[in-house]
Amino acid sequence: MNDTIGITDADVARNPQAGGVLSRPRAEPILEVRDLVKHFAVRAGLFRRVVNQVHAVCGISFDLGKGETLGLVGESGCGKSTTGRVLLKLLPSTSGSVKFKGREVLTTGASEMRALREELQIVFQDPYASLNPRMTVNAIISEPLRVHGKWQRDGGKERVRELMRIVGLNPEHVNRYPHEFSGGQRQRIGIARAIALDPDVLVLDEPVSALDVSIQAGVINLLEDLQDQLGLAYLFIAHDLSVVRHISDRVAVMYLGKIVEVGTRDEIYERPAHPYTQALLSAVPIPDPRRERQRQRIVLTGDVPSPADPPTGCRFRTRCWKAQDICAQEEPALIDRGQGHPVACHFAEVQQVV
Amino acid sequence: MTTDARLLPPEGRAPDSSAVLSVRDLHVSFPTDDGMVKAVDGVSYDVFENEVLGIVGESGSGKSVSSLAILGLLPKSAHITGEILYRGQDLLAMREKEKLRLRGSRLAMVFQDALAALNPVFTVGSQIAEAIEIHNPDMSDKDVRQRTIDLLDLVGIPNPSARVDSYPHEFSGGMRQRTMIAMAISNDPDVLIADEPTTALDVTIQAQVLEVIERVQDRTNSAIVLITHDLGVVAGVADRVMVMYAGRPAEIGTVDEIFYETRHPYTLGLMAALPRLDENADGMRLHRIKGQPPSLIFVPPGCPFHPRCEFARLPEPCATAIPEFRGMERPGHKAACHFAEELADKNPDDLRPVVGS
Repeated sequence: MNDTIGITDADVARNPQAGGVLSRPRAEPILEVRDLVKHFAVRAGLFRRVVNQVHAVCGISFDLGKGETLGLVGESGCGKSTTGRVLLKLLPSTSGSVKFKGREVLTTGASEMRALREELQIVFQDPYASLNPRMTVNAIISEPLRVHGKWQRDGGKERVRELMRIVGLNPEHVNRYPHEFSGGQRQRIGIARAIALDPDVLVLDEPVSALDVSIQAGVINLLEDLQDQLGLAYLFIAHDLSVVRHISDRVAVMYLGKIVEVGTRDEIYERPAHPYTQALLSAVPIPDPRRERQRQRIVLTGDVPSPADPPTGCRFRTRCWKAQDICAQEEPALIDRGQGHPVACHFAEVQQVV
Repeated sequence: MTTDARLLPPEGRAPDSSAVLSVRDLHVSFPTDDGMVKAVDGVSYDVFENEVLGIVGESGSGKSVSSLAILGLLPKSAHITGEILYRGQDLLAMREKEKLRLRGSRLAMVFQDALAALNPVFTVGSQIAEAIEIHNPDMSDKDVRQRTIDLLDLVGIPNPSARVDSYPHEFSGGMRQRTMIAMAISNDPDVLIADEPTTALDVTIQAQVLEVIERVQDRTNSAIVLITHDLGVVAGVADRVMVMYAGRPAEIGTVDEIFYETRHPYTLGLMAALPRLDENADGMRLHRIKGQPPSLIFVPPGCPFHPRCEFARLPEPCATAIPEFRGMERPGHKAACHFAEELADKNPDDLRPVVGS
């Protein structure tokens, strides 16, 4: 019924021309992720034998272009944060490849990796847990500079003050401790630390989820300004689809360890073709009562299945209203099925839901 | 939907007999080493049968404390003044024994963190059954069990006759929150207070839980107080909305008045700060409300919002006089701003700077 069935995600990633496949960034790719897999072992018993595997990330592939923002969205447990950590080698990968400017990241040795870390940085979600409470702001922001031997060269304390100014903090507060700052200010400290080494790629792992709306807007604006000034590429990991629409150039939607749909921001929000993307978008409440009253909501039944025992075939089929026999037998590949962007669904069909 | 009674401004008139719950001039403060924390500083509102009142505010705006006060769940150290009238009876003047009779039967609450609110060593069925038995001591065990299963079915737990014997850890986050709702509605309460019931949940699960809340209301006609920080949830579910800032009401009105005829700069700022799912942001930046929410020990003099306000006239009157919480064009719509009328022709986009490209 569809000649693309039988092509797996892996085939497609190996030979990107096979089906016109990966949604491509406009600029040249700076980060190329191929077939990334991360399984966590579940151990039990006296000898801590491996009894099962949690399939957190199962063969995902995407490109991140220079100076672009790729939004990675999905619900809790879909593997989006794990993806961010594995591609920075904060967690060892099971298999796959991550190339930064053509150089393999996942197999590099420790000393080469240290050099790579200057270019690849991360901002964590929880600004209360990600800053050492016993270090001053000066020590926190200057740590990456010292580790990489750039403290003197980059101007020492003056560089720290400059970084604080860039992220909108008062440089006079350089000797204060994290607890003296509010949540939004702490997140700015985390951002200053991440950009201290002038990286090319920033992985932003839910950077505004813990902040109140009025504070969140300031941090989003700051991230946009930094991207314009420093030409950073962002992998923006978030569950808030409104924030992702605001900040992203392209968006990848994850479900249970797989990318189910990827495309430009307009393709995903205006022309979603995967049932999961449609359900996800229709579930987000819009702060506009008249539109809310008119909207049709797709309410999914049930919960996300356990990643330790994912369904056969299409992983979304257990909650999907379109599911047929084929969905249990064949895994749909992530390819363009006539909607203009790659969708991993046998019955992909554009439906406007926002 | 709207009766004449609810269109009248609440203060200055006798508590409405048709209101299920009336809060009048509620103040809650906590003594600390640094001084008195004024968590709630003069809140009044009515909730009517079969309506959803959304209470919106950021962390520390007093929205949760005011609802805990209604149920009498605040610690003894809290200083509470004002009146909380349930069908004309003042809950604050009531003896503990009488309150026990109302709490859990006429007034019920759904908490944010369902895992913390459920006891891990008892089955969900026995915890719901406990809530039924306390208020219906004559009910037979068989009837209690049947009622428990019916409740689980109502909130959409699949296969309820088997799941009634499950423990909380065997449930997912969304199922736990639904169990909390089942427990809260077990005695068909007149007032259901839901404190951030969907904040910890994913959007697809949030949609399921909000649907359950709407279904429950259709069946029980309860008055629901929905506390949330999410303006989207309020837009979809609430009939009326109260926006709180620094322990005080900033604005109250029907959901359409709040969103389309905004009369308080804080409400307007919140909407302009919110990224939209249904709009592309090309060239449009989010509005950043300057500064930080105030400390509740040293609330700014005059209007508490004046240091962060785009429209403030300083020093007079915004930094010197506390704005009266007063009625707007339509009865029932009130705002605490000296210059509320001047916001008539403003909408959130006016606050969003356009990037010169």
